[in-house]
Amino acid sequence: MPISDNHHYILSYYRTGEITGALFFGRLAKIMRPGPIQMDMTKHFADEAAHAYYWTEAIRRLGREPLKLRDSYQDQYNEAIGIPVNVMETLAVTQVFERRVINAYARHERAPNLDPVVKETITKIMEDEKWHIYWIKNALTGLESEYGKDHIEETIKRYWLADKEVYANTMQEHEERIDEIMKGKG
Amino acid sequence: MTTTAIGVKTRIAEVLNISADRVSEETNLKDLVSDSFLLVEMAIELQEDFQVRFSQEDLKVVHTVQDLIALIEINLSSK
Repeated sequence: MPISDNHHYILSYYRTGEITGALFFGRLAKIMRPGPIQMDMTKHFADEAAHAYYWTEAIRRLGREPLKLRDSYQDQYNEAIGIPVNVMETLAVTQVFERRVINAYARHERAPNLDPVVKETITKIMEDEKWHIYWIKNALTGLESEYGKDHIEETIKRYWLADKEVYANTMQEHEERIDEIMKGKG
Repeated sequence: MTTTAIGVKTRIAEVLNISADRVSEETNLKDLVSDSFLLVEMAIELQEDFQVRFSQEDLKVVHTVQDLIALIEINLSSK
């Protein structure tokens, strides 16, 4: 049986977000100077592209085609937070965003009657997401001597507050759809 | 024109893949940068080239190429 409209929308939204993430990290990876951050960022880019493929494949296995969604969560970020302009700010905003992503996937994974295809895809992606949090945290620690520990912490805090505001202001439709899924009506 | 100004203008033209003639000190950066991510690329490249650091806050008051040159020169002089 094909998935519900709510699930169709949410999985397409995940796919769009992963594509946006891949494009963002791909461009960043292209301009990074050689070193560990360049290496990890390139892997992060590759992971996001793979996740977009996993969701495309999952949606098709579930009997639908991906919806063409114009905006991703990241686009709304840029409008509200502004664009980061140095490597530290880029990693700080990504850390906040990745935590939002991992929480969203973890919540979805707990939905009752979850289709095995969705569960399998989330489980596969979550492994990479945990690594994303890990490498970014390490990279930010490595940048403390250059940017200052306090300044990095302040930047992350500022992005956390902005993230909460963006989510509250822009994600109402998304929340309603997820709520339905969490009630097992998805 | 200072060495920094020449260097900044040359690098902007390279990153944006445009003729250096299009980059004057009065040019508004928004007129040069077609997509916001290009601004990120340009900012990161300039910071690495000139070994300076600037933040999102610093760039809020930067509108023209001259503003950007001034920001880099202030950063360099405070080193």
